[in-house]
Amino acid sequence: MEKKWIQKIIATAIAAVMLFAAACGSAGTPASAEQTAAAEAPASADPVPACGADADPTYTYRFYLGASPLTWNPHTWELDSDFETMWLLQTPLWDIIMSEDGEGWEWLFEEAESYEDITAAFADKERWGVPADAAEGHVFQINLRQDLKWCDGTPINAESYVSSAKLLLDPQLLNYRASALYHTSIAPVNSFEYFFSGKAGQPRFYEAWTAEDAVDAYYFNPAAAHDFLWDYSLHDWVGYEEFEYDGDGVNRYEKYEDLYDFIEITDEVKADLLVFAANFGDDDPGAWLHFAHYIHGVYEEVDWEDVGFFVNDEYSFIMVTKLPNSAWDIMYGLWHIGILVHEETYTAGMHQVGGLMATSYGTSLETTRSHGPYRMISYEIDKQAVYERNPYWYGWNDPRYENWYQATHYVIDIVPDHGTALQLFNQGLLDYLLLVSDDMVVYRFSDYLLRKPSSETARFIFATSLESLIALENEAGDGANKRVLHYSDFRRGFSLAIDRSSLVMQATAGALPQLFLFNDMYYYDISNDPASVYRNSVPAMEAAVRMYGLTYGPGEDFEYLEDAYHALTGYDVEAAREAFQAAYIQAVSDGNYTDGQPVQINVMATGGTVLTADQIRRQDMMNDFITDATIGTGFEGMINITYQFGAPNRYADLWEGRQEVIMGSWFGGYLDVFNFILNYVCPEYAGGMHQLTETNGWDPTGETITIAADFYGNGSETLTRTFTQWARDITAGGEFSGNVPVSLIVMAELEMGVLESYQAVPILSATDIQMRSMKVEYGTYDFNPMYEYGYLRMVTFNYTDAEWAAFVAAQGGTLNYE
Amino acid sequence: MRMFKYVCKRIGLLIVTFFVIVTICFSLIKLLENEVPLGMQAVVELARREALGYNKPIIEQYGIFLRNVITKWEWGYSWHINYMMPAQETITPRLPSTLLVNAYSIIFCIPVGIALGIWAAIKKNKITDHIISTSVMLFVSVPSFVYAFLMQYTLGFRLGFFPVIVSSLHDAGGSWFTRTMLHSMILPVLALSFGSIAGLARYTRAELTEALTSEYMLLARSKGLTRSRAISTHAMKNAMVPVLPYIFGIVLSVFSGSIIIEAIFAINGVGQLYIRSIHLRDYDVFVVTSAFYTIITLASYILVDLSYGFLDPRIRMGER
Repeated sequence: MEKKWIQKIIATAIAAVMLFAAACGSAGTPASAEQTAAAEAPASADPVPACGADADPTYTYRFYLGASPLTWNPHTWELDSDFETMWLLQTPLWDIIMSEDGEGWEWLFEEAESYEDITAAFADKERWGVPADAAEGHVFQINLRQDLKWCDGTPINAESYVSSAKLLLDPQLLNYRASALYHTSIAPVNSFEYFFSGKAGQPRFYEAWTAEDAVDAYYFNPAAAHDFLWDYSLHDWVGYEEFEYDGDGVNRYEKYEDLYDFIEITDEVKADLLVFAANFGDDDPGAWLHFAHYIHGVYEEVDWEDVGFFVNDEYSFIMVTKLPNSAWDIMYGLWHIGILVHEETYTAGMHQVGGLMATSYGTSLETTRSHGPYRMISYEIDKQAVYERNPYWYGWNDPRYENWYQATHYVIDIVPDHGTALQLFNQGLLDYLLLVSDDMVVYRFSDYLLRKPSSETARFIFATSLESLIALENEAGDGANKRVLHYSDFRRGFSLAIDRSSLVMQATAGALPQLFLFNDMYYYDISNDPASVYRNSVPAMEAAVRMYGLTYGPGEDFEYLEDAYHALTGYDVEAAREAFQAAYIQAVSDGNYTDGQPVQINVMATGGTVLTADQIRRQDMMNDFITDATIGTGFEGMINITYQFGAPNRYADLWEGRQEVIMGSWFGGYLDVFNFILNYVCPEYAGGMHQLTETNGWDPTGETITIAADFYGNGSETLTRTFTQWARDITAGGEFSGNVPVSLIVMAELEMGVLESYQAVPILSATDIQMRSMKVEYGTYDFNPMYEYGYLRMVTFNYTDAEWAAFVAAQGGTLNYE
Repeated sequence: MRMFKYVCKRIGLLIVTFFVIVTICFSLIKLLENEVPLGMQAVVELARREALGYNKPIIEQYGIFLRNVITKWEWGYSWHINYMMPAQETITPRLPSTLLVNAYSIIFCIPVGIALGIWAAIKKNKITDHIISTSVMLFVSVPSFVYAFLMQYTLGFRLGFFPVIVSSLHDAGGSWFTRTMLHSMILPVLALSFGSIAGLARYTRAELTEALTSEYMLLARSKGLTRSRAISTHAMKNAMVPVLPYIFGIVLSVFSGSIIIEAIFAINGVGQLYIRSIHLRDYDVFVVTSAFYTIITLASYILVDLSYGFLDPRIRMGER
């Protein structure tokens, strides 16, 4: 009996294997995905009517991502992968495209036909708080096209935009991208207040040092109960045992551990705050103010009717802005914001989760609506998204779009493994590939290689507070020294020791060496001068040359400023040795270093779960550089650098003294370099002192810098202000805002001032190195940060899908891009 | 009756163990640091976390979680992998691919593994046995992702016999059972199978070898049975008793995804989900995925244990 039972199992299993083999074995030569799809004619799962456009020939652009996007809801998107999905489904009010002569850029009105500054004629100025004498810059009328439609044919009008803006700022939804509207210079009147209506009646706390008048009472809150605070416990601030307990033996950590509301700062609290400040190396008796807030009014309940964003007529809406704005501000500001959503789908997906209302809009095929050139027809989580032309998009009937958007289909495959993506690309199954440094050995000279510079500058950021460093030493308990990082000369030596050119060549996929906070992507007057690259400006170059001690002019090292500037490498082993030796002498003299003591520098390189091969290579190279640059100094053979991983909040760790060095980077905002400096020196802009990552041991609100310029048109004079104040002076509403020559000088001095503190040492500018397939041509091969290579809009195809499959087959199934 | 009591006891222990593991998982993931974005995005993110109750004490969060699970069968939501999708639903769209690839692998590896094990045992100490045993050691020792890479590169990329990734449903015509889909799954199925084949062959060989040298085999031969008859009737039957629960365990592993194999062949399976939920701090997804695997694992242990009793009447569950 048992025998038959076993035999049956085995027989069944064998039969199943044979069936499987029979099913698969006759598949023969693998067909491309397009061929397969065409042969088997998959049914479209699209809930909207079929478009029937351009069935033959088909041009499919195949893109890939490492993971599925999270959401392509323009109000909540977070990740780059979200954006890659989202932009196909929407068209902005206007966009930046390559100019007709191919030399620069120009605006293209898309969903908006035009906009008008109607401030002068606006009748309701008083109601909206617009100055009565304002003639421009406050009230803008955006006129929409009248043929806009959703992918299901539903018309889009001004009401669609206004109701979408209301949803974006909905106080219940707490949308991730709401700040793009309420926290910019073009913020509509009362948009901030409306967004925070949920806090109506609650006091509005501001950081203490922003108070212009006398303050009655100060408040403190270490937890995430307020805009300018955060959710880290005090526990990690306290590095020493001696700091953990107050005079009565009460643990300071436990005292504030569960505090979620503001408390008034009493003498007792003030004493604790001074201890915390001392832990950061600040012994100033007024340092407690860094942690203090004051009450400035209360949050008010604001109705949507009081927000300066409303319908004018069926095809135009009006925006009344709180601050005055130029034409550029409005166009640039609205260019960046995805406002429009399909209200019905959006609200249908709304659901209360705990205390949060959220929507599932833009997370699946069913919850997706397009008003862009493409619409989604298939979505498989973590696998693939497929798009086809949206037949209701106005562009197909607009002669301005002739020859644009040639792709009939767009496919995003999810391919987590780079090696797999490389194989797919070489098989002609992807039209784009992002390279890693190892690939450069093979593809360095490929005709299909494209460099996409980024505004991102990676830098070492140091904790320099002596107390933090001593605490880290104690915590490590291995006898290694970290407090040498306190010395500016040590950090300068560290910077001068780095051969950045070799580093990027050997340990990155095409990144560029970088000496400064801002690379060549940043502009200082883009609205008036599209060629106003900050890095090429005279003040920026002069400050840089001065910082590195080069001279120019007759009889000097270099004849011209440009020559001196372009000769800068930041690599000077001899100078590095001198700096290290100076730091050594000072540290020994101060009792902060003993001969023969190892120096262990842990660099938190990433919040990820593993170090990449490139990061390990960089670590090794950094050790080589430092070893070389300390020969003959007191630190010879003593310094070891270890790259670490796995700290998602490494910026906070640095500020709070849990880490001595991190790798960090800023990017974005490249069209307004003046505004971007705020991220380094202005706490209220960044969201608090803890968000200024260079501030462990350095305080831009207290540090001053003297700058010489013709500030008021009366000839050159010198002014001394704090870093923070200078930054405020050159940005919106500041004393020198709009005075480009002065702002440039201030900006250059601020940048060099930050760098000369050596709290941060820039090393490289990220650059994406990518390949395009032989199937496609880009609109231009001269990269421009405003429109890159022309995006999909300008991509043209050398082959139809069928021709491409035949071409790949004719090459033996593998293409050669070397 | 004793059997019934035994099963009830095991189920009771399963529930306790499940509860303890879920509690530990819930607490541990909440203890991990969670990145706060820089700049003004932090304002909204922190407000969202407050609204979602992440600032409450963990014990209180756990209480809310249990209440929602028990009263509403609500396991929370995904915020970082599948925005606003109920946590338990993040598993379902990823299960088919994992199930299929694993099922095909099992269907393939069981007969092959057993057959090789039998062959090696019958040909013990001969060249066939040496070849099989050496191969088994090789495949047991080398991680499956190594064959995966090798097969992908040679059979998929260089020779073009198979697609280098598993097909999407759209490209496969909307079904898991089209020729295109099956064809695209061959490489990952093979990559997953080699290790199991080797393990099964090794186990079967060991058990059968022991059976072949036992006294009852001598008795069977002395009674006049042919060698093949004696092997199939007596040796196989006894050798399979410990092998079948092993197979049963393999079958139950059909639900588990392979993180690396899934990444290499772009399979949208559950293996990737688990690791991403930790990396992205998608709390509820991590907890529900942990709960899912915990219950599968615990249930399979019970079933395997019970299967011994059914397969071999000499084993009685619950007997002292």
